[in-house]
Amino acid sequence: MLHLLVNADQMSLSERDLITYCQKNDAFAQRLLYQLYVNDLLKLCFRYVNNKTDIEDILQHSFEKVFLKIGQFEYKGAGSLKAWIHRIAINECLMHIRKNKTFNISFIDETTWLEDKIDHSDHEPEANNTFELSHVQACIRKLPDGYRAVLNLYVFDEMTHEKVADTLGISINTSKSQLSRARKLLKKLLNSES
Amino acid sequence: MKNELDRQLKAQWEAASVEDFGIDIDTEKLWHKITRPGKPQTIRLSWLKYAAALLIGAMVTFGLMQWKAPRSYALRPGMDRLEARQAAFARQETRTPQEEQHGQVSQKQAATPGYISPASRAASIASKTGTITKKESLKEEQIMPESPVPAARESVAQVPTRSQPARKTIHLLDLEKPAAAPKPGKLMMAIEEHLRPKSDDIAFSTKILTRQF
Repeated sequence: MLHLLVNADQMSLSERDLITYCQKNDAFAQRLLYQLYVNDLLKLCFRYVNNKTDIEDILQHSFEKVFLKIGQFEYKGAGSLKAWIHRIAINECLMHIRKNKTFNISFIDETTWLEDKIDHSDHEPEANNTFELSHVQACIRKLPDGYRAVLNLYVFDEMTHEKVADTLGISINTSKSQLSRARKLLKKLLNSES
Repeated sequence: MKNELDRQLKAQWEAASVEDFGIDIDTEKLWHKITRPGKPQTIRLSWLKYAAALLIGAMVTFGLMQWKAPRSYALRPGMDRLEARQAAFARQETRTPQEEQHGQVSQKQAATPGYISPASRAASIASKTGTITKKESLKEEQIMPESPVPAARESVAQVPTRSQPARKTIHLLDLEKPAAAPKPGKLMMAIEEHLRPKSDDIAFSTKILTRQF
C-alpha cells in the first residue's frame, strides 16, 4: 500500500507518515528515508572526516542506528527528524575521531601546527572576500581535527558554545577559544592560498 | 553570534550538492551493505567482561581442585595398608609344596636324637683340635652345603613357625558396597499395603490392616 502511495506521488507521504512506517520496519519506508537523507549525511561526514572509507563506515553505522532507534524517536514538528538524524551522524563522526585518537593530539599540538601553517605576512585577512567552495573545503580539511570539530559544530551544525562544550567534553571557554583560533586560521589559510 | 564569514560558509555549504564536493561514494552499494541479510554481528566484550570471565574460570578451577583433593588424600593411607596386607598374604599363599616339604624334613631331623647340626659339628671339631682358627671354622661353614638341607633353611626349620590362620581376602569393591537398606517396619508395611493394595479388593487390604493392629 505504501509502495503504491509513494509511487503515485512521493511528496504526499509526510514526514510523520514516513516515521510511522519506519517504526513498523517497513522496508520501503526505510529505503525512502535513506534516499532522502543520504546526501545530507554525506556532506556532513565530509566536513568531519577526510577518508572516503571512514565516511562510508560512518554513514553505514549512522543509518543502522537510525533504523534501530527510530522506535524511540518522538516527532516534534517539521525538521525534527532531520535534526535527529544529523545528531546521530555527528555523534558517529565524533566517535570515529575519538577512536582514532586524532582529536586530542590535535589540541595538544595546536600551537606548533599553527606556527607552521599560518602565513606570517602583515596583511589582515579580508572577511568580505567570496571564496570558491572547493577552496573553502580544502582549507577546512586542512584544519586540525580539534579546530575542525568546533568550527563544524558551531558554524555548520548551529550549536551553541554550551552544546559544543557538552558534545566534545570540553569547557565553554575552551570551545570559544578553539573557535576563535579556528576562524583566524581559516581566514589566514583562505587568504594565503587565494 | 555568528559573524559574516560563518554565515557565508554556511550558505555556501547548504547550497552545494554532493557532486560539488567530488565525493565518489556508491550509495546503492552502501544501502545493500546496510540491509544485507545475515550480517555478522560484532560482539564487543569490554575489559570488565573479560575480567569477570577469567575470575569465574579461576573460581571453577579452584572449586574442582578442592572437590577432588580431600577424597584422594583421605583414602591413600588406608589403601597403602590394605595393599601391604594383601601382598603379605599373597606371598604366604604362593609358597610351593617343595618348600613346605623342606620345612617338614628339617623339623624331623631336629627331632631325631642322633642328629647333629652342621653348625654344632663345626664347633665340636674346633674344640677337639684347638688349632683351628675362627677363619677356618668359617671356611668349614662354607663347605657345609654338602649337607642335603641348606643352612638358611636349617635356621628356619629349627624355629618352628606358628601356622597363621588363613586370612580372608578383602576386596576394595566389597568395602564400597552400600549397606543393606533397613527393613521397613510393620506399620510402614501396613500403610504401604493400604495405600497400594496388592489386590484391588479393599476388604483384603482392610483385613490386613486390622490384623496388624
